[in-house]
Amino acid sequence: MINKILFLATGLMMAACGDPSPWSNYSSPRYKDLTAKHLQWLGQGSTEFTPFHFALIADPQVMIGHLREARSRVDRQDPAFTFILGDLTDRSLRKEFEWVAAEVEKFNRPVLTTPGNHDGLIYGKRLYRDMFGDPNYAFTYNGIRFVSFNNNAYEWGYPDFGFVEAEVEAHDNVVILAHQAPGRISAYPEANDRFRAFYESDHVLGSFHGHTHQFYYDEIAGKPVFITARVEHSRYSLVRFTEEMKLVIESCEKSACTTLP
Amino acid sequence: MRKVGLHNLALILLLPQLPQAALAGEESGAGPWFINVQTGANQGILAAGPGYRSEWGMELSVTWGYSPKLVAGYHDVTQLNTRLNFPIWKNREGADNYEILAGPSLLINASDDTFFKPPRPYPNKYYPPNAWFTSLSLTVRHLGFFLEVSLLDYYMEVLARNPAGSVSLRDVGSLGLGFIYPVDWQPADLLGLWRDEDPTGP
Repeated sequence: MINKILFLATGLMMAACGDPSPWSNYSSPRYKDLTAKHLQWLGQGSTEFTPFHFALIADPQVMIGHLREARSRVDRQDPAFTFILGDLTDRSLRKEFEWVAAEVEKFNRPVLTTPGNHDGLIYGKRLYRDMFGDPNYAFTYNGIRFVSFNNNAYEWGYPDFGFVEAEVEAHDNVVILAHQAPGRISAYPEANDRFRAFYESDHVLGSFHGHTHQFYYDEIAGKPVFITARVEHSRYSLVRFTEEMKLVIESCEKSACTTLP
Repeated sequence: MRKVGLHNLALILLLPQLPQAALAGEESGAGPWFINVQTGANQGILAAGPGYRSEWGMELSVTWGYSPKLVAGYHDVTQLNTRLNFPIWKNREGADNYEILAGPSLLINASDDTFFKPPRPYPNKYYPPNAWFTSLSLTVRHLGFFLEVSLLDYYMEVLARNPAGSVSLRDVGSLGLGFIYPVDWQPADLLGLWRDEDPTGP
């Protein structure tokens, strides 16, 4: 009899673990509005420009264990904040979003995200909005305007170029963070041309991306366009603003970092 | 909390059936057919359906799984689950009747939100299909009711592609609880029922 009771009690405890279905699509109340929460934590820094550095991580999809390892390396660099450049998930499954959200909460400094094309499948759009927030948003830190631009045209709908245009017109020093680099937006070629046009503005300092899984540096109108490699093998990037407000980019794999270009 | 609470409510609703299931388990020699009722283990908040046990213990079951919007999140989820279970170990003597079974499942959710092939602008295999998954499960059964841990094929890939120890079974596993209820039923009975309702008569 005791065996039966123990068997049943263990079952009841264990049955509360894990998602009951792979397609479960509720957003965990533990991870709500993380973007707003982390922006509040970050604050605005100084009112005038002051040199600082931040970290970039891209495409943790499937590689959640690698993200966990990269976190400890990034924390050692003590960036002002870390930005995850999309494809938080591979299949847009609830569980995948929760893995990333749990890691985001463990960094020593604030973490912000922009969604990727893989995050917009099945219930991903709602899960991302509930757990992180609006995919298009902007914030100012140490006098630099950072713009998260959701440019995953097919999965999320046509990109809101008007939002970026308004940000570029209204602010002097703008850095764009989007999953897909100019020229890499799938299915809508004209969207690439509209994206490239932003770099003609003196207000744009450069842009940072993920999506293609390899480090890649390019320039448009003399501004850096940099793709961070997938987080596999603890790959990440550091971006430093110099006293002259120049961008210095380092690509890192584990503890080895190389300055680009 | 909402999910965990309602998931447990599903378990509580199953509890009154357990004594009967236990008795039924003790009479498991009744026949090869059974009804499988469970919660979790990737089969849905509540999954139920028929199963068949061969003479040497292999089991095939098909369940219809349902996770209502209230629990699933934004949408109801309905899924069709087919599971093949092979006996690994058993001790089928009286009150110490324990069995361990393992085998694969095919889980299908054909809905407007899921796809078997990637959307048209993308090359084949750009996105893996999300309308179906396969899983492997391990079941421990005692007097008809059982605990099951299930692991999706995709989560096996996650385990394989990450550094050892960085992803735990707790991250990727889905645990479930349920019972099987032997039924004295044969396909021929159903045919007989149809015959009785034949309007042309004998």
